Amino acid sequence: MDHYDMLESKSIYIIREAYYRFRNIAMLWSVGKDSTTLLWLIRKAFFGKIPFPIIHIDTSYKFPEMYQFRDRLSREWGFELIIGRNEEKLAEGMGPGKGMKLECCTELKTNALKQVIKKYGFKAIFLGIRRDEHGIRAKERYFSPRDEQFQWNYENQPAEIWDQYKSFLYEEEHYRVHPILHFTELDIWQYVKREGLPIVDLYLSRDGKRYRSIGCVPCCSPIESNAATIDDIIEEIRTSKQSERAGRAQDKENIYTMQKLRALGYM
Amino acid sequence: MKKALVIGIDGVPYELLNRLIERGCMEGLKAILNSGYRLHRMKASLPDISSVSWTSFMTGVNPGEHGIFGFTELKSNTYELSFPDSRSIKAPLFWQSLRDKNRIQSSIILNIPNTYPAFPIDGLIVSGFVAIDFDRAVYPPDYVHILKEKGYIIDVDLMKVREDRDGFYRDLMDSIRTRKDVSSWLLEEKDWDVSVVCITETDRLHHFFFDQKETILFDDFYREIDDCITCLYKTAQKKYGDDVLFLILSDHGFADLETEVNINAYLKEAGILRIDSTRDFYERIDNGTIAFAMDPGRIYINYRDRFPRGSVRLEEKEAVKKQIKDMLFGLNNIKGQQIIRHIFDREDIYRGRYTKHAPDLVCISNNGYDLKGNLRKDEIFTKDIFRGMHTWDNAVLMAPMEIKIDEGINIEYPSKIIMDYFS
Repeated sequence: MDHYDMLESKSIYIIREAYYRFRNIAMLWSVGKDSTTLLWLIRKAFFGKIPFPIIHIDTSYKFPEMYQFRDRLSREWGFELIIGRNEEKLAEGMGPGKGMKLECCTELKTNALKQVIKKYGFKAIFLGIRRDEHGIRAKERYFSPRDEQFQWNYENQPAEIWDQYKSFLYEEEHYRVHPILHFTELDIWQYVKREGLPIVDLYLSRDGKRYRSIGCVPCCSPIESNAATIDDIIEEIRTSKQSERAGRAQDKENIYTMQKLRALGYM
Repeated sequence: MKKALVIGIDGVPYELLNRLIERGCMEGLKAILNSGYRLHRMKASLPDISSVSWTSFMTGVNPGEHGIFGFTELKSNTYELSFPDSRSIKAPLFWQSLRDKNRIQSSIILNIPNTYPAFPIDGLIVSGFVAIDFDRAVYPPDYVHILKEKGYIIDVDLMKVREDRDGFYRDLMDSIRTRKDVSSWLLEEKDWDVSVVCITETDRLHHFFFDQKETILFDDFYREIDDCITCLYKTAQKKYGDDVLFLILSDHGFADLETEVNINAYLKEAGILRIDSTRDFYERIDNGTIAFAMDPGRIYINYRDRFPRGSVRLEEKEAVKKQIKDMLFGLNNIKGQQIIRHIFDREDIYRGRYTKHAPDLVCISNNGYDLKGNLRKDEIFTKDIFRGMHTWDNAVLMAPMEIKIDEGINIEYPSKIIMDYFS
């Protein structure tokens, strides 16, 4: 087995283990490269037929390319797609251009997901997060319990040794399952290349710019790059010293902090 | 049983408070003062910025010991921008120390800047600026819901002032009334030994309206502030009697703003800061840079052993510092008046193990010239919508007359009064 077979089989083991234990499970798909890779792995784990729904949280501010990609792939791969939208807040005009910016994410992402989990009674959710994305994620587990407030108590997590995963649930809790936690950004691109996975073409350079991670239009900005193919991207990441999120300015929280500081004339 | 109530009035200068009392806008506070309190002039932290100053108040120590030097920071040995928060505070807070020594049981801490995210406390804490997610700004979490229902907000929408100044002013007035109602309700409902309530609407008003400090706009606003202070004081008095130690303090002063001064634009012009504009934020600092500035007047020397594209060797330190100081003191306005009043060496103002993370120099400007550390502007002097700027040496402390207050105190001092009181 080569490196990518190892990564893949570890993920597939976790995917099957989680499905066996929870049954009432779903996957959160952002349409980005990581969760699309996860979607592919799930397809592989169940021999082409995904046995549970795929959730897309729609803030209504995503790139048009992302909506097209989402609809195309769900048709081609034939899975059940749940689209979660916080309709009430959208109707009130919630958006990143108005007022408290974090409120926008909280309402249109977190609360939209809370609504979906509640409506369908999911006990666990697959997420395509990776350990190398952010310092705090180094503490993540493959099976990660969340309380009803969605709080993650990272100082009190069940141990995970010898592939033994805790899945006991208290009332109101749900589990986050992270099958690709051990992939790095570079692994993802190498794997995308090896498997010939489709990706949203926002990742590829156009006029000297490309997106290194994608989300809502107002909160993403492209990085300077001439990487127009997957091979170029692999080469770029291999030699880049910038963090994945440097292109996104900073991560989400930092953007809000920055906006608030700027409003008072700092920065 | 001893109790202490502290009211923070963010950004209220000593002179302005005195004048507002004279003008009859603060009759409640005047009565409190007449019952045995006195106002003292107090220095802010260096730099004179809320997150640093309030952290100095909460810990009673200087930034070299508590580790907070601004709203922004660079990660160790990089140019990567980070935002210090409550988790970055390296020294114990006075109510934690008092609790550990069993001098007090519970505290109510409301709206102090740099207490986000909220952290475990015996009592209740609601974070202040820069709190970006209300759910993480409250401990214990059961209060999230209660506070939301009562309409509590941490801060008004600061972007609104650009579109609707009158609306923004009205929001500030509403916010102060809600703060009064919710804070006094909490002080009444819950048992506490130490309470700190921070009013930050004052700082917001000053940033955008300080040029109108002699008008009815300020009079009306400060009547609300007076009402809030009086209401909190009376609530505490009603609940615990006359023995409550009562302090009021501000974290820095304010002055009229003539112009913003972009130090980095000046450093660029002088050739000691080089920029690579293809990168973001402080990553833009390029090879050959000798020094750069961060908000408000923090100067960092681009040492080889401190930064990835550093160019200054340690043995050049004194010469480089002299070069930078001469240059900064040489910065004049169009009338030829000097802009920078003081430049402090970090060795002279900070002590403690985190001094190594401190800026090398800290500048204090003459009133009117607001020092800025952004890297985007090419003009040295720019003007935005801000009408007030922070000042260092005219914060204010109100303390009981029977307590002897030393001369030349700074913001680290008030927590010592509280510690002494409970010891």
